[in-house]
Amino acid sequence: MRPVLVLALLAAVTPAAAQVRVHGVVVDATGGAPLEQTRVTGPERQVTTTDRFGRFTVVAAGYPLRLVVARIGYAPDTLELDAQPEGIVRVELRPRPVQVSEIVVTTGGADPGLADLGRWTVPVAEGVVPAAVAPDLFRDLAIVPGVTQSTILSARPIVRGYDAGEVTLRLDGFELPNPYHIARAFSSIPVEAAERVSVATAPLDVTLGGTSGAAVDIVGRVGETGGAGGGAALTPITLDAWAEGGTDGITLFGAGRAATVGTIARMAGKEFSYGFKDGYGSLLGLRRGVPWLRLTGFASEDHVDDTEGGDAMRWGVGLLGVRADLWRRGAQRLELSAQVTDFHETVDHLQIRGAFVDVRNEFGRAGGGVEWGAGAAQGRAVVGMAAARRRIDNDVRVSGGSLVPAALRSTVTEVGAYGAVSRVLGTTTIDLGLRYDGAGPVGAWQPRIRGEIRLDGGWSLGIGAGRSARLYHTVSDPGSEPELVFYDLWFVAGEDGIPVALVDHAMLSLGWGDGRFSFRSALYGSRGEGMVEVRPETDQSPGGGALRIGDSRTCGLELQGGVSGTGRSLTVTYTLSWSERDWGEGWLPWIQDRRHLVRVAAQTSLGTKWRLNALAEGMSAAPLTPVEYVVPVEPIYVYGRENSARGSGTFRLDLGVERAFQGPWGSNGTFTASVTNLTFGPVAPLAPEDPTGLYPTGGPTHAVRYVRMFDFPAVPTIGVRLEF
Amino acid sequence: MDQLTSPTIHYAPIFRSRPALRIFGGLALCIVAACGFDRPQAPSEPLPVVRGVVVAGADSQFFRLDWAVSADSPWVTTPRPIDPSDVALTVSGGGGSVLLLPRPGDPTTFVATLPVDADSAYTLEGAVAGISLSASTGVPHALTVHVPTADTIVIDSTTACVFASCEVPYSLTQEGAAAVLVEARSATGALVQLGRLSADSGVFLIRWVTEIRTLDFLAVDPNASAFAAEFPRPSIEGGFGVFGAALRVRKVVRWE
Repeated sequence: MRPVLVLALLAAVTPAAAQVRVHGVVVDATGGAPLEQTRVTGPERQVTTTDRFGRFTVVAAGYPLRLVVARIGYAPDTLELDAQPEGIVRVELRPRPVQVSEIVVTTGGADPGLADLGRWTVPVAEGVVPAAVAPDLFRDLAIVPGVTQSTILSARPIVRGYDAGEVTLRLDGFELPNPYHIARAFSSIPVEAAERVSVATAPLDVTLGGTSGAAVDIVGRVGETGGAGGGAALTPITLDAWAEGGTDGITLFGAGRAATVGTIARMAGKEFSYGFKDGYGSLLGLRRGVPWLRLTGFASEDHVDDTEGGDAMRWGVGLLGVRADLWRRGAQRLELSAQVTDFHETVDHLQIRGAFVDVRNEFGRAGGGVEWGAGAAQGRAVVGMAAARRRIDNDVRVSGGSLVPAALRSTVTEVGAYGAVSRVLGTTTIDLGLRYDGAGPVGAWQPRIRGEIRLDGGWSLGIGAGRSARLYHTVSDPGSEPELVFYDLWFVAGEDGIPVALVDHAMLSLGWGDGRFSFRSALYGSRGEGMVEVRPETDQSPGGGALRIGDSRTCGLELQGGVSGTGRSLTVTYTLSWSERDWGEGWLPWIQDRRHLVRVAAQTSLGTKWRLNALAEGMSAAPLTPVEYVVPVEPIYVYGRENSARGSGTFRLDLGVERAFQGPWGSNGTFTASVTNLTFGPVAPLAPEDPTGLYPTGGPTHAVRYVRMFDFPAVPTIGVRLEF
Repeated sequence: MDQLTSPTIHYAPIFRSRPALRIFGGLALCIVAACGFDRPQAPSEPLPVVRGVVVAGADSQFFRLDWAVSADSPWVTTPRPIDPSDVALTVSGGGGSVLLLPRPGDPTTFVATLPVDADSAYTLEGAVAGISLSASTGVPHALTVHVPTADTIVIDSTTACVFASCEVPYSLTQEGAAAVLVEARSATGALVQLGRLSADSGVFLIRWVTEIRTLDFLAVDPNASAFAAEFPRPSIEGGFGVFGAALRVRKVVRWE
C-alpha cells in the first residue's frame, strides 16, 4: 500500500480537536454478557456498533449528549449525559420477548462501520422458529429471505443461489468446517450455547474471507458476572445442559448436548444406532468490567453403528479459539486472535447407492491473526492480517456405484490481509476495502465498496459491490436430500486444474422502520467463475470426469415487511430469484433455483403464560431434468437437457406453542410443543420415479411418472426447559 | 431468563391481522398452484441404443441394438429391434475393420467378426437409420486371476453359504482397467448376476442359483465401467449405449 494512501486512511479517522469521547460497554442485564453489534446512536443520528466485547466509543461535539442503545431481542435504553462520565459507561439492556419482525432490521443512522449492511440477524430464543424434533440454529435461518434449505430434511443454508458449501460458517468469528449432525439435518452447535446467528450477504465486510458467497456467524453465550446459573432442556432425542458463572474479572459458560436414537431405532425394528455429543464453552476476561479476552471451545462427535455394533461411521469437529486485546487506547485497538480447528471423519465399508465406501477425511487448521482498528464519529479504519497452516486429507475409496472417489493430501500456508476505511459524508457513509487471500501458489485480490445513504422519513438506501473468493472447494451433492449424504469432497485450488472460486457481487438495499412497522428489501446480482460440482447422474454426455467446473450467475429481489405490537408480531417475506450455472454448454438453471418464495412468520401471546408461533413457507418448484427415453428392457433412463423442466411447488406450515411455568427449586420453566409440516406437505421436489417402478405389477404399463422424492408427515415435538 | 412471565404484557390475538394473512396466504397458494407440474415433452426423434463390449481373445464381438422408447409412451417389456437394413456400423482396430452383421434368429443382436487384443484401441463408427454414431475404447493391458487357481469352481457342502449366497474367495491382478466386474451366467448364456469387485482380493458372494454355469472376471475400460454403474453413463456419440472393452478370465461353476 502506498504511503499516501495510508495517510489518507488515517486522516479519515482522525477526530477533530474539539470533540469529546464517551467509552462504554453494553451488556445483558440478566447475565452480564457483552452484546456485540449493538447500535449506539448519538447526536445527529451518528451510529456506532459495539465490537465483539460489547465495547463502543462515541465521539461528539460536546455535552449534553443523548445516546440511544438498541439491539434485537432487547429493550432499547437511552442515556442522557450532561458531562464527561468517569471511566467507562456500562449500559445494561434487558431482554424482551423476541419478535420475528425484529429481524427486519430498521435503519435510521449513519454507522461508520456499516456493520448491519447486508446482514440479517436471528436471535436464538425459544420459538423463533418452531422446533423440528429439536431446536436448531441453522433451521432458524429460515426466517432470512435469502436463505433456503434444499428440503425439509436439511439444515444446510443455501444463500442467494449458492450452495451451502460456498458459505463459510463461523463460531465466535472462527471458521468451523462441516458442523453438522447426521444427514446434515441438524447443526452441531447446541442451541443452548448460542445467543444468535446471522447471515452476512455479499458484498461482505473485508474482515470476512474464505467464502465466495455469504458468511453465517454464530455468536455463543458467555457467563454472567457475580453469580452462577444453569439449566437443562429435554426433547425427544436430546438432553441439553448448561452452566455459567463468573466474577468481576472472569466469566465462564459451558453447554453440552447428547442424543441417541439407537434405542428408539431398535424398538422400531431398525438395525442401526446413532448418537452424538456436542459441547461449547467460553471464557470471558474482564478489566474494570470491560471485556478484553474471549476463549472459545467447541467439540462434537457423531457415530453410526452397524448391525453388529461396530462403528460404521464416526465424525466430529473441534475448535479452540482465543481473541484478546493486545493494546487499546481510546478508539484505537490492536487485537490478536488464534485458532486451532480439526474435522475428522471415518467411514468403514459402508454401502451407499450400490457402492462400498471407505472414507478417511481430515481437515485441520492452526493459525492466528492481528487486527488494528480505529473509530471516530466521522469514520473508521481497520487493517488486519492472518496466517494459518491448513491440512486436508481427503481419502474416499469407492467401489462400484456412481459415487466419486478422492485421494487428496494437501498442506499449505494460508495468508490473509485486509484493510478498509469508512467515512461519513453528510447523509452518506462510504466503506472502501481491499482483501487478499492466498494459499500455496494461488491467491485472490478482493476489492469491496459499500455505502449507505440516509433518506428522509426514516428510509435508508444501501449499495455495495465487491469480489469474494474461495481457495478450496467443499463439494457434496447439491441436490435435494432424500438420502443421507455422508461425506464431502475437498478440492484445493491450484492443484489438478482446480480453479479459485471468484464471484463478483452487487447489491442495492432499501430499509425503513418506525418502531412498529418495518420494511427491508434487497436487490442483488452476482457473476462467478471456478464453481466446482459433482456431475449429476442425469448428465449423460459421453466422456468427461466425475467433476465439472463452470460459471455462475444469480440475481434476485428480497422483500420483507414486519409489524409488531405488544406481545405479537407478523413478518412477511417474498423472494424472487434466479440462479444459473454454465458447465460449458450454456446457462442452465441451478438445481436449487427456486423462482418464488413466500414466508409468513407470526407470533402472539395467549393469556399470560402462553405464546404461539407459526411459520408458513411456500416455494415454487425446483428444476428437474426430464426423462426423454427409456431403454428397454432393463430399463434405463435417457435424460434430456439438465434442469430444463420444473416440478411443482412445496408448502409447509409449522406451529409451536410455549408455556412458561415456575419450575422446581426456584427455576423458571418453559414447556414447548410444536408440529412441523402440520399440513402434511408437499415438502419434497419432484423427480422421475425409480426405473424399476416401470415394471408392471398387474396393471397396465405406463409412461415415466414424476413423483415426490419422499413423503414427510406432520412431526410433533415436545420439550421442557428449566433454567436456574 | 424467562421472557414470558412479565405481567405487564397485554395480549392481542394475531388474527386481527386477518386481511394481511388472507392476502399473503392466498398469494402463497397461488404461487404453489401456478407452479403446477407441466409434464416435460418427450422428443419425437428416434434414439438408437447400441450396447457392446469387445472382449480380448474372442473372435466374435456381440452387440445389442434396439430403439429406445419415448418417455411419454407406455412402457414396453420387449425390445424394439432395429431393421438390419438400417444398420451400417463398423468396428475398427488391431489392423482390421468389419461391419456389424445381424445374428440370425436374434433380431437385436449383431456380430462383428474381429479378433481383439489386449492393450489395443478400437472404434465404432457409422450410422443407424441415418443417425451418425461413433465411439472409441481401449482394451486393458492385463488380467490375471490367481485365486481360484483351477478353471472350475466347485461349490459343495464345504463351501460357506449363507442364505442365498455362497463365498468364492478370489485374488487377482490387473493393469489398465477402470474396474473389475464379475458376471455369472447360465448354460444358455443368460446373465444371472453382475457384481463389481471392491478390491484385488477378497470374497465374491455368488448367488445360490444352481443354473449358474460360468463365472467371468472382466477387467473393463472406463466406458464399460461407467455403463455398469447404478446410473449408467453412456459412451456412444449421437445415440445412447456403451462401446467398451474387457479382458476376460472365465471359470466354470459346478454345483455338487
